[in-house]
Amino acid sequence: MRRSLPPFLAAMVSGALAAQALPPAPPLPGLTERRLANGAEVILVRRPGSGAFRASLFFRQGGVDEPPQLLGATELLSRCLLGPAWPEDLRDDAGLEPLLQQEDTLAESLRMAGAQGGASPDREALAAAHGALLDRLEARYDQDASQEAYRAAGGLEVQAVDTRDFLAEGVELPAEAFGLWCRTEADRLRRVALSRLPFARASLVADLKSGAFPKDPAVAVLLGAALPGHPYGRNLGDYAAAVEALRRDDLRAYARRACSPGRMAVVLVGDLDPGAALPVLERTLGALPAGTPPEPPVLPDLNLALGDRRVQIQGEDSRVLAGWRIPARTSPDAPALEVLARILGGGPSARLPLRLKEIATDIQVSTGRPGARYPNLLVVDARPRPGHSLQEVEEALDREILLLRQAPVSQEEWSRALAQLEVGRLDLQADAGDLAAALGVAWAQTGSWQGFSAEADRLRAAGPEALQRAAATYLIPSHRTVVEVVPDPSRRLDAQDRAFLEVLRTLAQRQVEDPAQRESLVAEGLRQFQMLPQAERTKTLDLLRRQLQGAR
Amino acid sequence: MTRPMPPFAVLAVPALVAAGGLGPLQAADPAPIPGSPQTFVLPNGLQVALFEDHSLPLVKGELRVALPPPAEDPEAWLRPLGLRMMALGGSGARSAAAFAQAADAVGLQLPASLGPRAVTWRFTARAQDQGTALDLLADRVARPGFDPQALEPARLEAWSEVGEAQALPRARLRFDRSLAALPLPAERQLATLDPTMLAAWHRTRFRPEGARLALWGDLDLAQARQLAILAFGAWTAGAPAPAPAAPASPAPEPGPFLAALPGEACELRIGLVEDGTDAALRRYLGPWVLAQLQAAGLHPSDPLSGDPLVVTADAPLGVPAAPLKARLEAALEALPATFGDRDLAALARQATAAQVLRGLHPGDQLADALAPAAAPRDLETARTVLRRWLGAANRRLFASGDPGALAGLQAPAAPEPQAPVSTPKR
Repeated sequence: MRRSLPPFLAAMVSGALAAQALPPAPPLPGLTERRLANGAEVILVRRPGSGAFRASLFFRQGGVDEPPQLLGATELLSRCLLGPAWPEDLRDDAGLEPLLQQEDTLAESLRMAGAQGGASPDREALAAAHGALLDRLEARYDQDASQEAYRAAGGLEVQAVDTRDFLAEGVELPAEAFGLWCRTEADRLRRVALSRLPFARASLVADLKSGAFPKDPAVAVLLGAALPGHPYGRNLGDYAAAVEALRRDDLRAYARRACSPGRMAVVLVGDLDPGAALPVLERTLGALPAGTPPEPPVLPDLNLALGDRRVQIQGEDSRVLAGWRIPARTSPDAPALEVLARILGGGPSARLPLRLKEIATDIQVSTGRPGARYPNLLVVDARPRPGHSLQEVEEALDREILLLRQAPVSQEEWSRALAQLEVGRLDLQADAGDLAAALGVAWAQTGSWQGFSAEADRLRAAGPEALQRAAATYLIPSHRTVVEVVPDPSRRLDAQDRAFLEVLRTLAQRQVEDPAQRESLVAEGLRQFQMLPQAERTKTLDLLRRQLQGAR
Repeated sequence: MTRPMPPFAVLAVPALVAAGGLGPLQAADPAPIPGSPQTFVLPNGLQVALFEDHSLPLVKGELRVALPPPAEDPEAWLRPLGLRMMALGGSGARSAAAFAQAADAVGLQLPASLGPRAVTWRFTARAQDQGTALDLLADRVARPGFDPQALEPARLEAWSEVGEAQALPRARLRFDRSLAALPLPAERQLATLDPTMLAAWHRTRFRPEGARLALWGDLDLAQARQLAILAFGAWTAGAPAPAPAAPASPAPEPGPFLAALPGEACELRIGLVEDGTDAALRRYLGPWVLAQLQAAGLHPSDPLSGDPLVVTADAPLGVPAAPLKARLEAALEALPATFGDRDLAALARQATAAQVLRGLHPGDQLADALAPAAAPRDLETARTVLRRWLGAANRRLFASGDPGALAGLQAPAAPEPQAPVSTPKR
């Protein structure tokens, strides 16, 4: 699931951009690379004198790799395997495991009872028993945040994040806590206790059902419509029921494979001496069993020239999102497309902010949506100014894209884009957290940390003419999907309209995979529903509700 | 590093030297201490701190210009619009387009953030562009041009914000402004605003003697001095802002800020006004407050983000908001009394640990140099700060949802404000 990334990962996009503008590239100063005995990779950048270090674990296993029966597993692992290191995940507690198993069984029974619909004494008894068990579990946990292992050692910025491409965690610690970090991570990856799974699952399901995710529904529709059938286009918000049905044993088994050393990179930046640090790593994280990585996912062969698609949805304000299917980060054309994004939207004097400023605002251009291991999207996002229409903005955007295809970019624009990218690259290197993130993301997306700098050589060799070639290849109508967001009339909906929308959306999620088709169906359904006389509306709503109950 | 001086600086530097203004800059340079900035003051009062780091060809910087407390500034309502105009307009001798082009050419961005008693600009530049970057920063901050053509769209935008008819955005705007202690402009004030007034506002508020510049990166003390003089040496302020005889604009509304949305579930927020009171102490106590609210199962915003702390709660459709409000208020009310010696000691340990980790982040070093946190001198001081921060007088309420659910959310009585606690020096 795509959540807003913490700062250390928010830098990754600009890191990907910045990587392509390096001057002739020396290897990163102070960088040591090593493969541990069990296959885990270590990337260590020494920064003497700071007295502290940033430690990250990256697993090349993201939402895109989830098998259909384990949708949401990556998100759950980021919530209850990685991040804060709680005492109950790190100690032997003979009484805890039976309680967790009992909770898992009760939760499944409760879910099954719920699926049968309606209230019943059995279901109420189950719910009461489950609630009591959760209370007992909670009572065993340390609620005092100071007991978290890293905070107790003076650590900060304990984070875990899941993306479509990878799962990662990071923490900042004083240099003397390096041994503690190695032992703690090795210990929890060996145990995979998932002690807080009941609460993490309930919280995720509540988030999904409440509509809190996806945070930006327009982007979710764009991804679904532009990348149909591919996990990049999937919206976890449609799979709350599947997440609710995840069992603890299945998730633990998956975690052991997904987080196996062969899919792991240890990224360290800070005041660490490789000579002293590597033996400690070998004894701890290097001693984890190699395990068996999960089968690679069977992904559809995405046709980039799928055809021009167009979807209209309702939202708070007018907005247009145009996405073009572009190749993965490892493609020779990827650096040129990154620079094109910068030429279109990098700064107030870039083409779109400058030339569309009279008619559009909040113009954003980005690549790598929603990831970059596989074909993804270059997205232009803009809002019409008051008095201007979506069509005007789209037409102006088309003209600018056409110009990119027809004429080479000027030397001045090329130099400006390179300067911006170089500032971004240097800025990433200045901050230990950002550098660790950039190296880890490059490793996860390209197979090596050198993805952070090697792309620069490709771009430099290509020159500005490569941009026109890339635009003519990818920024064409057959690669494009447009989502138009028109102001939401739902503020004028009555309670019955809203109930109808809720039921129809739930039904549509089960039967129509393509979000674009689904949105069209729901919008048309609402239009017809609103035209019915009151009695017919009530009857129709009852009918749909019964259909929903039957489907359960 | 050498580069040509801009014309204004060529004139300004000899004048400063002739006036003996460089005296403080001619002292012997002390050796830099790792993690500690070297500091100096320009004759015009601008304070400069430098963290030398030559590991990358990069320079980062922050410039913080102090503003009077909103309650003492009759034109506090103008701050958001004035800053927008500074960002949109040209600067110095450059038109807006030329400024944007010059900044983009070196990959420079100059984002500004408005706090209750200061505006802060940040930048990052290649070491080879450090002079250009500082020139552009100085132009934007000290010599902005207020473009009459840019004023009309900005005025219309502000007008439409103020006159917003829809309940939800209107309530959100008023809530946000109340938390920032910034009154909304009256239509008459917006209508009469012109570039001359904006220039006068800028001249009296943006003063070098209330400004601090922090630099990090690939430059030494001599370079930093030269650059600071060239870019900021000619910055002289106008007369100070006149003391208000009577408030020219109303004080921010106390709320509650309610948006009736028939048929919608209730969303409730309690925010804490951030007008600069006890700012350094609140930064120090913020992590504890955040942890306590999270442990209570609430959803607070991060008090260290610089924005006012807001606690949010949702209720399913049909559930009234009043009990939710009571729950949030009770949680906030209870916190000061629970703060004890152990918490104070834990915060001290946390602050020490954070100091160690700051070496990983140049941005944190800069922010800390300009806006440090300060430990309360004792437990009672800490509790007093917490009571003032979390207390009823400082809370503002926002709620949206079905009118039935919002029933019972009454306007709180306006209690008397308490005097701030003085911040001990670090």
